Amino acid sequence: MRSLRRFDYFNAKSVEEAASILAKYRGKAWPIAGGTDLLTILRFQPLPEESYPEILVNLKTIEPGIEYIREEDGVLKIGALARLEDIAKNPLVREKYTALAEACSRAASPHLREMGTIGGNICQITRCWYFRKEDNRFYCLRKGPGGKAWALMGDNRYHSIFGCAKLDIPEPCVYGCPNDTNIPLIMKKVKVGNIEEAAEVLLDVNPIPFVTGRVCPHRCEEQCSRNILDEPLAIRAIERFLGDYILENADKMMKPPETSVGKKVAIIGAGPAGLTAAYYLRKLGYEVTIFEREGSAGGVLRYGIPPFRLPKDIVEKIGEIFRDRLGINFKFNTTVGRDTSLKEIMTNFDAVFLAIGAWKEIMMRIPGEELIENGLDFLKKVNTSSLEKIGKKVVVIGGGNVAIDVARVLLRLGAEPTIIYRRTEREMPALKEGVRAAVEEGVKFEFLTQPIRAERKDGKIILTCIKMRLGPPDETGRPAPIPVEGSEFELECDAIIKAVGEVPDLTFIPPEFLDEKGKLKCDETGYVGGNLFAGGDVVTGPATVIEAIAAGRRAAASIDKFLTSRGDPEKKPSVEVRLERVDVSSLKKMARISIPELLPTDRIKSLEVEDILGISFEEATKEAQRCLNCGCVMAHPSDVAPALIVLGANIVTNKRMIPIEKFFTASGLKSTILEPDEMVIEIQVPAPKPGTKSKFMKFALRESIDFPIANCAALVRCKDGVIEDVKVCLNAVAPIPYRATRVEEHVKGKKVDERLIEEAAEKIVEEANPLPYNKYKVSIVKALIKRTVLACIQ
Amino acid sequence: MQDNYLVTNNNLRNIRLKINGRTFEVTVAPHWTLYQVLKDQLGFTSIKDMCLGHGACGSCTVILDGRPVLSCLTLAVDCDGKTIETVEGIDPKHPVIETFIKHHAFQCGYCTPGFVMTAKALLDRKKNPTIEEIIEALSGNICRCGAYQLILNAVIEATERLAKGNR
Ligand SMILES: Cc1cc2nc3c(=O)[nH]c(=O)nc-3n(C[C@H](O)[C@H](O)[C@H](O)COP(=O)(O)OP(=O)(O)OC[C@H]3O[C@@H](n4cnc5c(N)ncnc54)[C@H](O)[C@@H]3O)c2cc1C
Ligand code: SF4
Ligand code: SF4
Ligand code: FES
Ligand code: FES
Repeated sequence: MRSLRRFDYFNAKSVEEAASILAKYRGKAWPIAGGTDLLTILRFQPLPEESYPEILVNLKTIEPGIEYIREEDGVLKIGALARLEDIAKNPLVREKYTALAEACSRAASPHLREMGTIGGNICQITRCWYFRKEDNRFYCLRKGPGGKAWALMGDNRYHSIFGCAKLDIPEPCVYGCPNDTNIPLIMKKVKVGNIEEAAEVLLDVNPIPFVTGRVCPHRCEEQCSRNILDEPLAIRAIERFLGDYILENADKMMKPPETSVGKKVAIIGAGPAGLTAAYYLRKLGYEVTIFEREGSAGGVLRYGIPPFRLPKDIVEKIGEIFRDRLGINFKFNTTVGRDTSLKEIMTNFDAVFLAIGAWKEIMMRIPGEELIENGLDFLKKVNTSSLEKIGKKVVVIGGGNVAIDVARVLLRLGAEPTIIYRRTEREMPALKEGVRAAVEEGVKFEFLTQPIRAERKDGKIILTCIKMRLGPPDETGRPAPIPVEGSEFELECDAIIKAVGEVPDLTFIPPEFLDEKGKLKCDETGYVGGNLFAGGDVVTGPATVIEAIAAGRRAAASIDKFLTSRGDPEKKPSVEVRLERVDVSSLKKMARISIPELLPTDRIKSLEVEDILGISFEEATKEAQRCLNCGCVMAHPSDVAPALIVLGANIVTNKRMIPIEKFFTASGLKSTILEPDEMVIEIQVPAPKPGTKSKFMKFALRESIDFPIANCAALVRCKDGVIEDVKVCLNAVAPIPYRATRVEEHVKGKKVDERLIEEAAEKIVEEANPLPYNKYKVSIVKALIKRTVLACIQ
Repeated sequence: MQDNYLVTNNNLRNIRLKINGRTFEVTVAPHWTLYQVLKDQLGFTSIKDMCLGHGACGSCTVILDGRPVLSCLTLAVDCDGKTIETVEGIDPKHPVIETFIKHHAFQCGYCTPGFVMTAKALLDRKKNPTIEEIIEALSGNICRCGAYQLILNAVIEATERLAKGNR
């Protein structure tokens, strides 16, 4: 048997003492009552790592004990620690609060009812059948570990029939995107053709989606839930569509700030990180000046990425829009460290954001290295049309994105590039998409090959290489290449270009901002020291555009906080349940749109023509239909909750009194709206008016032990054969207990009769939103409603 | 705040358990279950773990201060000063034991200790339960061999014997 996760333990002697410990540990202390729910969670650990408690606060030692069941002034008062079995057997409860007694006697198994408390029951984490995991796939406790499934599409027979809940944790795609793009919201808008609003949602986090829509490695698509079903949603293609819409409608979409905060921020480097920080700071009303070494904005976008992947006129437009529409100042051809100093800028501006990227090619330290050109220098020449000549046979050294781009450019210039890489294709750090394109276009690869010397001979260059083999993993986790003795061979070529990795050039940075390894001291908010912030490749080394955008956005927020001491808006987890309808038609298999692409033979004809094309409005809206709008379709499992709801109970905590219908939530990992230092102390149930009857019924696979497939509590008061008051509540059919209001409305004020009840039960079908495998629950619910209500009037 | 209430991971706690009439002093960590302590530390091997601690089988049942509880979901620290009964402590002549043998109320026997403890807890607390009450009380125990009817027969006879005061 697996042992429990470790925790500390505190035996509380009073409610106040328990509350003070809970408050002290803010969310890292959880109350424990019977422990039946909590300990299974601490054993099987289905939650995201950071969400577990460090300490449990034992409520069973509170004195005097809160296990009472008594009636006072017409109100039934049950201590939170009363055991379910004791409530079930209590004659008073059975007589007057029948639904509650029946619910308690049907929850779990006899042993669990001897142990489990009513407070714990209504506070149990919505384990349902699937626990929620960070990537929105769940471990099913019932199916045991390994039963990883995504509830919407997987075997969803135990899940909600009333839609899904949006959680505080991100959807899979959002989790995959380094910039937290709200993809499901964007798709919801694109689906109905609302392009402008979708574009606005995108602009909230990304000022240059026309760039990422072309060059982003789209990790969002890797995570997309549709991978399990058929193919991932074409998120990047839609992003490009929206990005192009923004460019075309820049007048409308890109607006200058309405206010000014009267402070100045300098940004060093006009790459994606710098541009993004500039955009969001400007939007907040700062005066922003960008210092740029080159003559044009874009950094890697302008001088690195080749035009067939990212047309240069698009990049040019960023500069124009930022300058003319947003009023951002650019100081081009200004190299900080030469034309001006960092210290000077730091003095003249209220804050400085350093985003100079990583442009310095790493040295290989082999003889003849001076004969080898740097990949980034080569790309820069190509992108500024200053390339003079290239040879025919060109060797490209390296396995990253720069090497691939260099080789693909060479092909388009009529050369015959060969990439040599010291490991195998599997270990290449380049993005798969680029490698695939390079192969299709005819780039040759020599794997397991390491250059050891270059020399000039008769107008040619001879590169001596050695074959490698793969050894055990090195510190990067990839297998270390080991030279094969005696395997040297010579390659004859006209030119060699190396792209073995780049590092930031930090030579002009004052030493107080560098650590002992010579790296920038930069915390995760982007703060370096003084009024200096940094982000993007200069901090991380070569990464991706979207990571730089994320860093720029983070830095803008930190700088704003630094300069205005506005502070973080207090991030309170939302307690509102957002139940959304699941569009079941999206759960069917549907082919992904095919994104138009030139044939490899046509692609290599031009350096300028884009090889991947955009999609149309029709294609974008059609593709967005495929988005599942991922949410959690768990079912809240408590048997006690619906009984308390029809009886109109109130939950008394150490802080307030909460009407039971407001008590449950499904937004995050929590199932209740309780705050971290809040506990249920007592449950109060007003005595039903004379003539009222309440009943509870449950449908489960095994009558004992199993959680409900569905349950139903009803309360009815009749007078002279007319239904005066009626309440019906279901559970295990939605992420929170589900009040069947339409059913109630149908019978209220009418004469009791079996046909009427039957008709009313039918009403539930109109509201239901069953998933592909749980339509049967609708029939069960219908039968349960009918029987429970009938039992109340017989 | 009194710190002696705070049990930390490097601050193990000494507890006293009264098991089958004998007192044991054990040192436990807060996250140790009663199952772990009884079976692994103290050698009460009658306790079983059919569902591996999901709380769904009843094979780890012990009687704690008179209530049948699942030892897999009970913390040892919560049992300080409490009375625990396991199968090892039941008199072999107790009607529950004798009738289980007489009725062959098992096949593999893995669930038997849990059923025996559950049945005993019922009969300790209730003089003459009805058949429905017996079925209800046993409903949290799973027998994977399907010996339910034999188990029920055994418990019914044990009930009758106890009611007659015949031990
Ligand atoms: C095998 C199995 C089957 C089950 N089947 C059913 C079923 O069919 N129907 C059903 O309704 N339930 C079922 N349950 C759930 C069971 O009813 C609950 O586990 C039990 O009621 C929880 O009570 P507890 O005192 O043990 O809670 P604990 O496990 O102690 O606590 C549960 C949660 O509530 C918090 N908590 C506890 N007390 C309070 C309080 N006073 N204030 C605020 N927070 C508190 C804890 O921190 C924890 O997160 C089943 C459980 C198991 C293990
Ligand atoms: S930025 Fe990249 S990862 Fe994020 S949503 Fe767009 S394509 Fe996906
Ligand atoms: S289906 Fe939609 S919401 Fe779900 S992961 Fe894919 S893009 Fe995101
Ligand atoms: S092992 Fe404890 S209930 Fe199954
Ligand atoms: S006899 Fe085998 S599990 Fe019950």
